[in-house]
Amino acid sequence: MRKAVALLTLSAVAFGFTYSDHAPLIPLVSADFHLDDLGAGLLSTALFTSYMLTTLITTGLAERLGPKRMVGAGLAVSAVGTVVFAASASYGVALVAKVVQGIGSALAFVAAARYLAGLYGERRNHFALGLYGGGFPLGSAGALVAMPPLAAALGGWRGAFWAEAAFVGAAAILWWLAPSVPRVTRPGTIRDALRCPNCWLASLQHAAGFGLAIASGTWITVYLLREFRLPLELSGLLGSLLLVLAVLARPLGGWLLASERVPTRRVMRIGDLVIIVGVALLAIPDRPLALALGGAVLVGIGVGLPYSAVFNTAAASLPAAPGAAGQRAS
Amino acid sequence: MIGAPAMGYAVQTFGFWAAWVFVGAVSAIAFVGVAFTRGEEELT
Repeated sequence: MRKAVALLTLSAVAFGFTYSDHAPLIPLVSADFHLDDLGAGLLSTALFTSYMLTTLITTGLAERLGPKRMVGAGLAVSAVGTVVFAASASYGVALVAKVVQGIGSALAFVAAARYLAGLYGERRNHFALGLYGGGFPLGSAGALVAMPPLAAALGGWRGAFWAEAAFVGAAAILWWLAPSVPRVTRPGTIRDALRCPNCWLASLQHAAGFGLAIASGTWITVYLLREFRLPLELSGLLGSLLLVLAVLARPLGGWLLASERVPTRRVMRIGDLVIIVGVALLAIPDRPLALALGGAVLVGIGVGLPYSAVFNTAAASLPAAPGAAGQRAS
Repeated sequence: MIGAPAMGYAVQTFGFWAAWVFVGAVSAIAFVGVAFTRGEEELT
């Protein structure tokens, strides 16, 4: 069982890596493709738009094809998308590559939850789910740290993407060592979640959590590079603090709820307020580096803290279809 | 999905302060949204 959870978490790290792979290399990619900052930001949009559409269309596939096969297929598709990005001759092809990465991640996300449900059966799988969930920001943080030195060592941003493709491909191959699990039937559908007002409100919280983590993580490296004239590698390393803190804050938020010290809605409020304080520090004109890093740390804590609160609330909002509710919140 | 390009547009048009204001605005909206959300404890 440990091997299965470790391999599933590795898959989450690989998918999280694809979310932010381009972020620390924006100065290099933008120079090659003559992009402005809006164009660079649209690379993330391409990934997450295809992710959302694919999730809506393929939400029931894990039951028909089996969750193990779906996670493996998702990793393979993401590896292909990364190869396409590495070889892309134009901005349009790079956008298509991000679309393919998004499709791969979406194929696996719901299937991974079904895989854990099948692996654990009637037993509680919350900790395994937390490990899997933490893999995404961990992978994104790893991308901020690893991609600049990889680009420096391998002759440019394309070399870094080839190395990433090898990593995602290796995760796909290793995944086939994971044990197969029985298929678990969902108790509801995505339509049930779309009709649930409280699920929409949980989604709003998730947008302020995971959504802002990815958006802020995309720009924090460039912010440190331009505002403080730090080297690209150091900017990526310091910028990864934001996402590393998000990884650590997720279990902290879960512990606050599990120990019944703080109610769900207060955890959400604390997370939102911590982000506001953090961005205020980041936005102050001519702020010293220490203050900006303090702001990045606070944003990281704020985006990670409500994770458990959001998913537990989404699941409780729709007791007939907790999988669908959690999926909508994602 | 829209956060990264919205921040990019804010950076190139106004500067990084505007991008962080965008992030803060989303958090502020979410903070207000909590008032209308039923927490897990109220649902189980």
